[in-house]
Amino acid sequence: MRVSGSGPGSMRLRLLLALAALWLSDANEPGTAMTTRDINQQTRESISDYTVKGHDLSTPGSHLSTQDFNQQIEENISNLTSAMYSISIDGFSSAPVEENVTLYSPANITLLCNLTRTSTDSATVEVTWKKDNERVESRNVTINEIKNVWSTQYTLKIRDRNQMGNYTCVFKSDQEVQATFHLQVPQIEGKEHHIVSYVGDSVVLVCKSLKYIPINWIWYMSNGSDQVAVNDSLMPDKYIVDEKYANITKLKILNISEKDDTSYWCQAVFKLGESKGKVSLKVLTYMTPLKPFLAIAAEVIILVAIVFLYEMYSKKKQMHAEDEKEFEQIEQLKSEDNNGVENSTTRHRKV
Amino acid sequence: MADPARREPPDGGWGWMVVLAGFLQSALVFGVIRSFGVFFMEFVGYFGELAGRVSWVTSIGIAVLQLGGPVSSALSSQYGARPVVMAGGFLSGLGMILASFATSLTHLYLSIGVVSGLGWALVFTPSVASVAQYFAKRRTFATGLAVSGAGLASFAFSPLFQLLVDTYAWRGALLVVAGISFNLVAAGALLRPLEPEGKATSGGLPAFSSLCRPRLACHRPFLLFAVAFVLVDAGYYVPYVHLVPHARELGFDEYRAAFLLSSAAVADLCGRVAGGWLADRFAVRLVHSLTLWTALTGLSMLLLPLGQSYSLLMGLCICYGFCAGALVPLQFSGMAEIVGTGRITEGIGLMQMMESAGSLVGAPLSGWLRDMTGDYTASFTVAGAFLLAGSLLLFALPNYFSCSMDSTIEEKTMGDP
Repeated sequence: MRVSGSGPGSMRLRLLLALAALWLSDANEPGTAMTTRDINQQTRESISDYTVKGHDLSTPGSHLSTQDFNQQIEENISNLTSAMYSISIDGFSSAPVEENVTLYSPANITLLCNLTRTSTDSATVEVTWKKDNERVESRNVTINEIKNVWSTQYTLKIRDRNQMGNYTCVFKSDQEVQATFHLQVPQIEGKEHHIVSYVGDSVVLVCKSLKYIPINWIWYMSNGSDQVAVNDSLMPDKYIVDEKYANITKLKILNISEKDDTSYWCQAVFKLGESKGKVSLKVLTYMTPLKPFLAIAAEVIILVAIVFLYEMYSKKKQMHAEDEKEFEQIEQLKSEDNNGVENSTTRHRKV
Repeated sequence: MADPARREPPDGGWGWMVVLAGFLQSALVFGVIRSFGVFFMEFVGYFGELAGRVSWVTSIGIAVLQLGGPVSSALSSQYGARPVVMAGGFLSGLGMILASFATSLTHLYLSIGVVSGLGWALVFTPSVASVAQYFAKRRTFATGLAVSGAGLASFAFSPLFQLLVDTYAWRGALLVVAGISFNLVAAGALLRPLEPEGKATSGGLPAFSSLCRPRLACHRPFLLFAVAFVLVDAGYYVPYVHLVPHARELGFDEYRAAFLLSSAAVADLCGRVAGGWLADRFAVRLVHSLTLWTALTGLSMLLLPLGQSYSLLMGLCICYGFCAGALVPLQFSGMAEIVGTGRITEGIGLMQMMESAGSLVGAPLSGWLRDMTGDYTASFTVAGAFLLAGSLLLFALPNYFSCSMDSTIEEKTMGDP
């Protein structure tokens, strides 16, 4: 049997981890309930070992069935990551805290809740865990109290999608307080704004999942309230899905018509579930930008006309003014002439 | 009753309308060119091409704008400024209409690069020349006002173009921008000729022959000055093309990235006014201030990749914009100092043509560097190095280290055969 000898050692390791988590959460500022996260990959191998032995320890007396044995050998070989997520709650009066835990692939995780309370609170605290609002009884839960800090730890082996969901730790004495871990697959961001394109043109819709590589991508199109899968092998002239890189998917839509003005969903398939991102397409006709263009072109023609008309008007005025000046000059010369003639006639008369 | 053969420049009156026309023209030519970075991202996404190849679109446009300078000044002395500018305005809008139907990058090179570029060339030189003709005593101030249009326009146009792209996609946005460019025709209509139109035909032949015999090309100080600005131009336009994509790559969204460009543009505007004012205020030689501003521009461009946070990047952009703006009025007045006021038009035309080599190389080179290295750090560093090299070349000008405002250079130029 494998339990001998290393049993107390593994117990010490669990205690060490719990203390380490407590120390880390103490090191943060008190005052508000906060969350901390501690990913611990260095102890990966030893924790896999620990899991094997821990399983044995928590179910004393049972034999390891061959199925269990094989599964655990597989885990040992595949080097699953382990991680610890913790939330610290400061007193019974704080609001419920939530933390999002993103899981990409099967892993062993430990959820830790710490409650710090004042010494005036009553002594007994009932600690329970809930999964999706249903109470959970599990052998993988430990509860500790050290110096007014109640902590509880829930160790989980996440292997398939049924284990994803919301896990809540509840501390209850005369008041109740809780904290929730949302276990979810990596979220895909779509695009907030629409992508605009024209009738007859083609467009490329892009979804990215840069940090986590999905197993597969599936595109859906909204048809009323339903979502219909986009089949690019059935309609190769219309849809082309580009999967050059595993973490980026591009849906190219050719020969766009107004029916394509709808929302598209890119779904990334992971081992533990799927998640969708939304991309909206808006289809315009060439008439739409033509209207402001024609308005501006009309404004330009009007301005040019105004400038030329004003110029012709001011030239006319100038010529008119020059004509008047000439006229005055001629008049002046004429009147001088007349005076001269009159003088000569008067002279004549005098004689 | 005959009109005098040569009128005195009005120095006011209708001249201010010509300044307004010049303002609108630099706004609609350079403002549009500078805000084209918004379309750059759209072209990269739509055509799936590399940054280097897309950069050629604006580079060809700027190169044609500069290469066309001598052609445009010859045409405008033949036919008058007004018809040439109006035709240029129509061409620049036409190029963008053609571009909105583009199905490949080559179409964009031809429509925006060649057609719009030619339109811009036909607009720019005659409008600056018209402002110079209408003013004598207040010529620098009027020119400064006229070229400040570029700064104000790029401040407004970057977010406007982004809005147009979000609403109409790049095709519709180009169509609307074409309409906006057609206002160049209206601005051209304001360029009332000073002399009666029929007079110009006698001046036709000499205009074209001076195009074929540029004697300035043998003039050593001119060559040094022009080559220095070829180097400057290789780096000068890089931020206008690559700043928005660089900011987008750092993770800032479209409007914040466009706003960075707007801030650089405002700083450029202030720099143009301040540079001219400072140059007149302090008794520093023009070439010395020019070297200083060019070196500072190069330095701020070298430091640009260090800006990782938004506020630091914004600060560096403002610094770059201010220094880049300050060197513009000094470049043209520096030319006057080198070749003399009699040959300044010829000098500017020829320098523009030579500068086109620099700007043709600049943006595609930095785009290529980005494709090779993965980000824009190398691009900005090389661009800054070009600017610094240009400023160093200015040291080779004759009589650089003498302290007085040198009129001996002018005497030398007039003595040339």
